[in-house]
Amino acid sequence: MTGADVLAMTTLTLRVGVVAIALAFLPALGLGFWLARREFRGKAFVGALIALPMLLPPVAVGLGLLLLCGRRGPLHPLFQALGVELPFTWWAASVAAGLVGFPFFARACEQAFSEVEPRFEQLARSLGYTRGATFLRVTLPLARRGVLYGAVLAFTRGLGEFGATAVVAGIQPGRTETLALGIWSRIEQGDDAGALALCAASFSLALAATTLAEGWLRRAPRARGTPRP
Amino acid sequence: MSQSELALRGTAGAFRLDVEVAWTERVAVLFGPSGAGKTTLLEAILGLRRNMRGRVCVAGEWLEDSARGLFVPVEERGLGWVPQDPTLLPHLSVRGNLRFGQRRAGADGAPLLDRAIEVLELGELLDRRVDELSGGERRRVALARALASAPRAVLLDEPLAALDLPLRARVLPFLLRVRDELGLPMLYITHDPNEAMLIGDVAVVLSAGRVIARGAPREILWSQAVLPFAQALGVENVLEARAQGGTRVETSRGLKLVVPAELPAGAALRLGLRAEEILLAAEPLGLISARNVLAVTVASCEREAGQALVHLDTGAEPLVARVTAAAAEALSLARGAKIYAVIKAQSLRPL
Amino acid sequence: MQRVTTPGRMRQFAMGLGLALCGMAGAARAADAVLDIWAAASLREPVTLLARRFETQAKGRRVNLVFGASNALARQIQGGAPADVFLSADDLSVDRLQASGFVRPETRRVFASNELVVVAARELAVPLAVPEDLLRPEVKRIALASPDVPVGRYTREWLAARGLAEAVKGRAVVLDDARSTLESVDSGNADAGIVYRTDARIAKSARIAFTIPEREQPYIVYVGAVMVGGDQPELADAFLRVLVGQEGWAALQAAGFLPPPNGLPTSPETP
Repeated sequence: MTGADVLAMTTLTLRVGVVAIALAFLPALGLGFWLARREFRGKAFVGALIALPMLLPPVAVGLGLLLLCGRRGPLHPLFQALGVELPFTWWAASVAAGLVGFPFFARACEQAFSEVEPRFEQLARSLGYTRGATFLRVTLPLARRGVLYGAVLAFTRGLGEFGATAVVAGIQPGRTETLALGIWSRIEQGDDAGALALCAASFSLALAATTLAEGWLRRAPRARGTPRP
Repeated sequence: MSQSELALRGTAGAFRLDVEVAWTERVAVLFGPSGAGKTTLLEAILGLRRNMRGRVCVAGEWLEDSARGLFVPVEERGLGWVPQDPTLLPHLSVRGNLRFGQRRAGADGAPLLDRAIEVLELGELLDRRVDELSGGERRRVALARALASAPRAVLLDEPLAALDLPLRARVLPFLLRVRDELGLPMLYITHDPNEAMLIGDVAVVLSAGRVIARGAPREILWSQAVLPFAQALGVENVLEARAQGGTRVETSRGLKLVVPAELPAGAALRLGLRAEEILLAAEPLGLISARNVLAVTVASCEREAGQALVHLDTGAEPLVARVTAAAAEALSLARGAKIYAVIKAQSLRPL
Repeated sequence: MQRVTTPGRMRQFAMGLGLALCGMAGAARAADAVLDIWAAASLREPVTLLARRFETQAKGRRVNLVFGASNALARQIQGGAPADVFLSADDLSVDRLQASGFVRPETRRVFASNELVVVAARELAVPLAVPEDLLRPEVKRIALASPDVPVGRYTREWLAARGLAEAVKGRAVVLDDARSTLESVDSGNADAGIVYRTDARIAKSARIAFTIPEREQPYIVYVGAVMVGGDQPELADAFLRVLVGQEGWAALQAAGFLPPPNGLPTSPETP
């Protein structure tokens, strides 16, 4: 395994992670906002459903994905319409990583939105902003710290994702072999040196990601309503 | 003059609102003690409370009519709201907050915004961050933001509450300037009778979710209906006066008083006089420290729970004094009684 | 003044619990002899059958079965995993263990062979009759086992010999072992795959498209041996004797295995 291989796997892992967050972004925002603002029966149940990918063993999540999105699965026509095959492709790796990170993301969003006082939103609406415009220009900017935190959490969780990815994407070198999968297959082959090299790459990637995120978090202002005069 | 009308019924938590009132004056004051439902009513006017049924018409514009199935959404009501808590957006600068308000006005908003900045003297604050502003500055920005949105009416929720006296003195002139120079219909909420008398052309008195009186502020606030909570509010006398040189002033109706400080002749001022600071005497008291001793006739004396509210006819401004019920007994205060009102110069406070 | 000590009652309880646990462990050990058999995934059906029968043949016998890819099993045994008997789908894995001294060489036997077949998913519309049919555009995904596991190595040997290696590479989906390779075709997520005949037989929906011609079949051997570190040497010998004997061959043949290239083996020597 050459340095170029390690770099390629790192780039693949990065791509899988970024797409995973992109996929999880809107659902996490939407669900987080809905849970933060609405009271309804069965809210606890919805919360439990969202937490499911976090509570289940990752391999079970992978199996669920395979059954749902595989060629004979009920969701397959949807993917066909989009022109995407899921099992054994890097899309599957992204979906798996996105799915396991989703509970963290959604919860963090819910927390962030619930800390935005409804007063701000009411004020914006009284000034003529529609619900959507209020969300984009008031709620989201005020919650961005928490949302960003959730994204980072989900991203790093997705970077290390193994079980679900292995089941639904398999370990396809060059296509779905992320750093986590690569470390496992090097161990399987008895290539300890290779496995360690990939561990180092994995560590560097995670460190870089969290350092960058910390930098962003520090710059985003704390928005906690107006302090008392 | 366009008509404003409110007829709303509904609940907000454990609180019941049942309001029916109309007025044509430009500047209305919604007056009442804490918990009367003023803010709830304001929120209903804004369209933030969907569970209220009824009619809302502000300055001739119909916003809500359950009978016709009309409910204009919040963002289309075109009202300028200045909430009790300034609620400035912390992620924007002052300029950002103002522009945020201006968006609704579009291109027409620019001159309006400039005017608001000028009237409220925000020029130096424009690039400051919200957390760098003082309480009074925040309120001015919140007001300017509401004005910048070219509202058809401005709704102010207790803008001077929770401000200490010096701060109130600083912010009040701005409010009055806005009232006088911009010509917009206003609905001003307050629990302070001073402000109510100062600011409004008409007062609507709210208590426990119902309108108990409506009319000219001066008259309303002395009425029987308002008496039950007059004590809680510290009813005061408010007098418009003009300085006559030295420490003498004359009120708009001709009452001559002595104030603590010397003023240039011709200066206009408003004076506040607390009801409990008027001493009543059955006989003149000879040489005493108080500079103002007025011969007055008792117009009415209303007793309530150990206190007596005494309306005095001075021949010019009416005054209200508060004494204990026992004292009222002792002095035999009844309609037509001729007594003396004793007022220290220091009790006349400029507003 | 009273001294503060662990209350006498609690100490008694702790000791009692400790003794009971030791007793239970010892009792388990004394009551049942457990034979650990580690075998290639493709041997699942016949070995399970033989193991259950073996258990019933004498009192106090239990067989613990571990199935997986032969190379992965070998590596774990090398790492110290407790195995009494190792049944591999190739000689390479046993060679490795033997070189490290884990194998009792006199017990080593080749006991079966297998052949590679090409399976097609139920939904595949085009015919797969000859190897070149694998290159048809409708065959979008071909399931192969990883080159580290025996069946994956055999598969690639054949593909290389046939000149199809490069062409298949772009469409290959790599799985961890023989059974998951079959499963991916069985579930329809791969259009075709290359597996052992014995695996193809138990497929639920995938069908055998064609058998690789005999002269092209790679040299497939199943090798069994008794491990040195095991704690049941007598039972291990006994089982291996069953496996290479008539009973064993009957089970293997019934599952579709082929006889070893050099004929059926002789029984291992009784020590």
